[in-house]
Amino acid sequence: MTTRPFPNKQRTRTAQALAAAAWLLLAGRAAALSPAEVFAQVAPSVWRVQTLDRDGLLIGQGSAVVVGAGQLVTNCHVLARARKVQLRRDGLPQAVPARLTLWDPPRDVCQLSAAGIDAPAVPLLPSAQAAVGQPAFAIGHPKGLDLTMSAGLVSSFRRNDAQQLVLIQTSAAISGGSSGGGLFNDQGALLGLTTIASVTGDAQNLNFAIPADWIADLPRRHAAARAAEAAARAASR
Amino acid sequence: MTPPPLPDHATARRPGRPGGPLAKRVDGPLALMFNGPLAAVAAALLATGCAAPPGAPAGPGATNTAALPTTVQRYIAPPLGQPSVRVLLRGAVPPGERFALLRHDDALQCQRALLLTEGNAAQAAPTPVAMAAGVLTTLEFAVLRPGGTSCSVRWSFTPVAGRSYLVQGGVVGSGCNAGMLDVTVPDKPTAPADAVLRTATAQRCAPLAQSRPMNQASLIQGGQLGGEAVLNPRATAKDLEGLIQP
Repeated sequence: MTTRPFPNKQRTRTAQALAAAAWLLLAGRAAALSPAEVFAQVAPSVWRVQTLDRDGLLIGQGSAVVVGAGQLVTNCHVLARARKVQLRRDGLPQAVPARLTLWDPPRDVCQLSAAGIDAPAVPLLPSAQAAVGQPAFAIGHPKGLDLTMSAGLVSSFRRNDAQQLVLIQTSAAISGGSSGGGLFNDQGALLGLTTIASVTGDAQNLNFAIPADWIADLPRRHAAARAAEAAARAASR
Repeated sequence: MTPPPLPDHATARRPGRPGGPLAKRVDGPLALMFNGPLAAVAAALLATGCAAPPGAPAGPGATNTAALPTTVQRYIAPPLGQPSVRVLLRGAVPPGERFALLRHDDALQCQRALLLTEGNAAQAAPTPVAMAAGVLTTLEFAVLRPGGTSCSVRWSFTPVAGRSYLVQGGVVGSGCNAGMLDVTVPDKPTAPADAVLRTATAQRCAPLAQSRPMNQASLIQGGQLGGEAVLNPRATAKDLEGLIQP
């Protein structure tokens, strides 16, 4: 069989197709939403978390992000010492009761189930696809201020001694009550949950989010931890 | 040389919850007479601080002048050849105030304090001292103020022979804070993972088993559990018990 060089016309068409594909790829990559568009897309999926003590008194507030039908993730530290947890949005007269379904305290990620939440799940962005310098938007409920958005960059990636990713550092401002809120990229994908803010007088815009990978890992790690607990209980009997 | 900064935990705050910094600022209930040599004052400080009965006033500047010892002995460095560490102290106090680093001979009960080293506003970097390694050790950073007020921070850890530890402390408002770093590699300070805060407002010191890690802030450094990255290897579900359904 002999090979035949592309005729010029065909070569031109191929080149045009490749160029178009490359443009589409680049355009897709670069099709950044405006901050207002990001907010419009993801804000329905960011809720305020309220924790209550046994007498129904408010003991803390944070944020949570919808990652599945009626499923929201937040930081476990938001839920500490609570007896009840509920979700709120401005404009909704009633709080929505929620239930803790999955937990991973060492990673500070917990999942709540709330039957009354009918909001779209946000897509999770694998941290391997995140890059220092890309835009980042924090949306949460700092200080109880419903759906506050702030803009910044992915500032860095913080790793443990084994060089495993632990936190995504961002310059998007967060405050008390932002915990468990979303850090989104410019296409509305979830980079992570805003978790730690620096509040010293000599530090500015040093904020940290646990990576979205840890949300994806939560069901597996939760199941493994519960299985280990059950095995330990059985062994101690 | 500018000493390395305190670990982040001294200042980091988790935004989801009300409350103060993750660790560190301690307003002491201590008060003492401040006329004698620092050593004597330090002993008084410890005595009054440690002897405060449950329910004693815990606010800064609270007075308690009971049973002030008149002297405190200096710590005697281990003989050459014995396992030891190097301890460096850096204090930041206003003029007229002093700071001291003490080592409790009874590390578990925080008793029998011995003076390791001391400084003041003019001498913020006292000479490094040698200290025994390989045993549970409770240290106390104390700030001594004229006028009979003071504050202190206590913590326990097991020093590793051959290493250098930097204790940095200072005044924050009416209280004081302190942190400790392993500075064996000076340009790569690390927070000792086993250090736990023993300071307690209503007792001599918090029981070891109930003491919280001194370096929680290393949250930003994260950790590892079962080979996987985690934010805080020590975190448990205890605080979630009220929400966990059987």
